Parts: sequence; structure tokens; C-alpha cells
Amino acid sequence: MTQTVLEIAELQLHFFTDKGVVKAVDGVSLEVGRGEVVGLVGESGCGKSVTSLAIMGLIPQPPGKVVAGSIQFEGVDLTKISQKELRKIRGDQVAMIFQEPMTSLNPLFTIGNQLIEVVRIHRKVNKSEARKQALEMLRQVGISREGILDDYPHQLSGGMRQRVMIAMAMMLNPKLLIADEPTTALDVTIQAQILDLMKNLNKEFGTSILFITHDLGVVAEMCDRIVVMYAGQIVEQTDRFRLFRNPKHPYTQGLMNSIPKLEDKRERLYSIPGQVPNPHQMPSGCRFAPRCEYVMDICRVSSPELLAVEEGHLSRCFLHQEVKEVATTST
Amino acid sequence: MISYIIRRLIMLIPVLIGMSIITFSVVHAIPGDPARTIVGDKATPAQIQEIRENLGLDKPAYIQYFTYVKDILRGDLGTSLITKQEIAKEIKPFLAATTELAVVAMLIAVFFGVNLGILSAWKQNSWFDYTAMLIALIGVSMPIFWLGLMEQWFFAQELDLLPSNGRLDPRMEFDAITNFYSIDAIIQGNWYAFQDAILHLILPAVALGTIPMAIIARMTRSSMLEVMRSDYIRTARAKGLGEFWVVYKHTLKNAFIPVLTVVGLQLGLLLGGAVLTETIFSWPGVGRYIFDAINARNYPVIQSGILILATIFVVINLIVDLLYAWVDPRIQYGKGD
Repeated sequence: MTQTVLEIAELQLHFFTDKGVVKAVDGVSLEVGRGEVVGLVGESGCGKSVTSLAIMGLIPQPPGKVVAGSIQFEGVDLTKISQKELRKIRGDQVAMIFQEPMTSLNPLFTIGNQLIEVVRIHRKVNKSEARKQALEMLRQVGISREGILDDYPHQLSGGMRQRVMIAMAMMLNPKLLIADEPTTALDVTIQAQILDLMKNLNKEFGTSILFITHDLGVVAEMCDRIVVMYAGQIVEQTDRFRLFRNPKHPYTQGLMNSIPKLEDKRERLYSIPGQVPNPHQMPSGCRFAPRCEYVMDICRVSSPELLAVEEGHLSRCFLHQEVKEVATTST
Repeated sequence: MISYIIRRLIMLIPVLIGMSIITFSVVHAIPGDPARTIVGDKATPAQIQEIRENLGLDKPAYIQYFTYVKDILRGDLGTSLITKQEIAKEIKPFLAATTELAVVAMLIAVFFGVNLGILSAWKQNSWFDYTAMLIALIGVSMPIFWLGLMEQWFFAQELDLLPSNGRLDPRMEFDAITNFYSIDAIIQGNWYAFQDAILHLILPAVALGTIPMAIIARMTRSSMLEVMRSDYIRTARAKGLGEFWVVYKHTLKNAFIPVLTVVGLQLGLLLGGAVLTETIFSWPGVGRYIFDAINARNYPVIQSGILILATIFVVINLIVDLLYAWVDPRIQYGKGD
């Protein structure tokens, strides 16, 4: 990693609801380097989407509020600047694509209108120039059909719409692209095409990608480095090879085991027992303790820190922290 | 778009046929002998016979129906029993008066309703939102005759700012051309009359527009709030679009579709003649024209009046449907998602 594009430090994002405070993001720190693809993985409701929306400044406020920490983008703290300054960065230097291509485009405006809009918000160019740029970008994402700019979203398939969304995000060649489960709603063959497309764009333009997903298969395909989140916290963070070869945190291991394997003759598929904790009533110790198969007494009383288990490999679990202590005493 | 319009026009035919059957039955729905009911107990048999022939009641029902439809298609709506005038000609000024009032009332309702709704949604749960929605709640629950009387008492009597009834100062000399007085005044370059016509319109239009305004405001607000939560609004914000454009371009266009339905329905109702408002403000509109006809048992007028109002209602709904297709490209193609 040569240079950091995005650096989130100790981010705390809370939602102040009638039922109490929900700590949706609780002390998350992560980095995305230039040209790097970082995967943010976890079950639904673990805070990964909220983290990504916080980078964009798209958390509705109230009820949401960043109470501590910082989001440094190219040296600017996005949590400190005004909405107006944030709008200048949004769509231009940081762009985002979403999970639902079917509903993420405005049904009442043409593809052309919506693509050109991005250019015209951020650059002083006339319509025909913006149109040219839009056509070129659509060609880059694999749509070269004549007249596409005058089509409405409903005339396109889900895969095509997601390509349009990607074109829209890439229009101004952003430094960081946030992709929030961009392939979840698509069928498998289209999924592979979209992933290929994003990989190519990453190589060609050097765009850094923060890739949010719950699909470990997609992560293996796409990401250089992986951050695993559980209940608003990071539980494990390392590169792709280490994570798949040697997952440390019991939650990550559970996720790996949940992937069905061909050679496995079991009747029932594995799933992690229990559910993601209710955000209003977080467990007092380790948040994963109630679902963990290796749970110890200490896990129920105090929360583990996110510590290095080896170089470039962080895990939030007492298991390895004890192992490490034992290791140091034996030498 | 053109094929869509043609399709919609063809779909209109069965509606119009149904309507003609219903209006035709108005006279036949009267229990006993309609002719006797119409002329009253003291009529001579000769008079009854005359009415019967006049209305064609001596012929079989299906022949009567076809004659009735044929007459309508020729533009003959029959003759008033009281004034002996052709209804088609007689009803025109009343229709114009009602249309003028309804259109102005609707403009007021749409302008204030839509803007109140947008601002309420934009500033959801603010004091502005609460105040606007309280006004809207009072608006929908307000008995219209009471509002009209209060307006007259306050603005006409106490403040002496606005005329309390009629369409023009009766002392004014004025030639009606289209019977839309404000338009006639402009055509004739009579600015004094134009001003007077507008002043006369204000109180009844506000009274008539209050309920639609309140309904439109509430509809706009809830529709805006729903659209604001949608994914494509998040996309618009993610592009770096300013809040004004997010609201007025991306949200409003989508939120306006259900509002359009309400506007169409309300306009249809207003054009149906608001008997109460027209009575309170002595507005010579079609509502009062038909109301008087009902009191006088003037059956041909009732029949034709209902037919005209129903036709207007259907046509306005057709226009609303066409506007849908214009606003929402998904409709023309006959498949939504």
C-alpha cells in the first residue's frame, strides 16, 4: 500500500431513537489505499452499510450522528466539513453504487438525463459535451447500444441498470468507489460480469474500491484486503490469502463454514447459531459471545480488543490473545 | 403516445353509453306516470298527453332511448319545461360561470396545497410542518357554507374589502361573449370590469378551494415523504446534487402522480357545480341551475344537466390519465414495475 485514500479512525455513529441509543458503528477503524480493493464483510445489520453511508455523508441526521472519530478522505475530515463542501466531493471524488439497481435510478428521467446530471453538477460543460462523456462512459461499462441515452430505466434489465449505475459513479473518475452489495440483487451470470467490470475499472483507472458484501465468494474474487464486521465492530482484518487460509475469529470461521461445499455430505447446511444481537441490548462482554462455540467465562464479562495475532492480521478475540500470552511465556 | 390516446378514447365509448342509459332512465325512474308527475295533479288529460308526446313517452322504451341518443349526438339536449328555451343554449352561461369559478378555486388549491405539502415534507416534524398540517386538517373538516358565510361577514361586511356576491357589480354595463367574465373583460379591454370580475371571484373561489387545498396538501406531503425515502433519491444525493434540486426535480415529479389523481377528481367535483357555494355567493352556476330545475321538477333540464356534468367528469379523468402517461413513461408501454 503506497498511499491512503480513505482512513476511518475510531468512528462512532449512533442513532438516537425513541427506544434509546443504537450504536450502529462502534469504534471502526479502516484504511483504503490507492488502487486497493477492500472488502467489508458481515451479516445484515452489522453496520457495514451504515459505515459506507457515513463516508458519503448520507446518514439522515437526526436520528443518526457521528459522535466520535474521523473519516479522512485525501487528508480532509469528512465529518468536520459542511454539507456544501461534502456535496462537492460526493459524486465527484467519492462515488457510490447501491444494492438495488431496479430502484436506484429515477424512473421518470432518461438514462442520459441522469448521467449528464452528474457531470453538470460538478463541471462546467455544455450538454452536448456531457452527452459525449456519458456515451463514452457507457461504452466503458459495456453498453454501446445506440439511443441508450434516451431510454428510461424500466426499459433496461437489472444487469444493464447496474452497469448504468456504475457508469454514473465512474463519470468523473472518482478516487474512491463505494460499492454497497452491488451484485446481491443480480443473478449469478450477471454477477460475474459486473464483478469483472469493476475489476477492470479498478485496474484501468486505479480507482480504490470499498466493497461491501455478505458474500465471501465475491470477496475472494475481488478484494485485496478484508475487514469483517460484527454488531457495529470490526472483528477481523487481514489480506485475502490469510483470511481464507487461516481465519482467526470464530465469527469469520462461522462465515466460512456457512459456505456450502460440494464434498460435504451433510443433510443440513451449517449456519452460525443464534442471531445478530438486538442493537438496543448489546451483550455486556464480547458481542459474539452468545453465538460463539469457543465461548469462555471472560468473554461474557469483558470485551476483547482488536489486536494483531500476526503481522497484518487483526482479530478481536480472547482466544488468540491468551494463546499469544502462553506463547510468550513458553519462549 | 398517440396510440395510447386512441386506446383511451376507445375505452371511453362504453362509459359514455352507460352514462346515457343512466341519464335516460332519470325520467323513467319516476314512479307512476312521469308526465302526470311533471305537470301535477290539476292538469287536464290534454296537457298530460302533450307532455307525454313532448317527451316521447308514448313510444316503446328502446325507441325512446335511440331517439334520445340521436338527439344528443345532434347537440339537441331538449327544451326546458319552464322557460321553453333550448337547454343546450340556456345552460351555457351557467356552465361558463361554474367553470370560471372552479378553475380559479382549483388554481388556488393546487398552488397553496402543493407548496404547503412540499415544505411540510421537506421540514418534516418542524413547527412549519405541524402548523401547515393543522391548517389542512381544519381545511378538510370545515363546513363550506360556514366558511363562506364567515368570509362574507369578515371581508365583505366588516372590512368592506371584497364584494360579497354575484359575478360583477350589477350597475356595470358589460357584454358577455364567452361568459367567462374575466376573459371577456380582457377581450374587450375593459380593465375596470376585469378587476371587478376578479374581486368577485376571490371569496367564492377561496371558499370552494379550501377543501381541495387541504386534501392536496396532505396528499402531497405524504407522497413526498414516501418518495424521499426511495433509493433513487439517495442516488441523487450521492451524486452531490443540491437539496433544492433533489426535492423539486427528483422527488416532486415522482410524488406528483398521486396528487394529480386528487386534483383531477376534485376539479371534476367542483365543475359538477357547488350548490352550497353558488347559493351563498349568488353565483349563477350550473349547480344552482340544476338545483332550481330539481325544485321545479324540470325533468329535461335535470336529465341534460346530469349528462353534461357526467361527461365533464369523464373527460377530466381522461385528461388526468393522459397526463399520467406524459409524466410517467412506464404507463404508455402498459407495464409498470
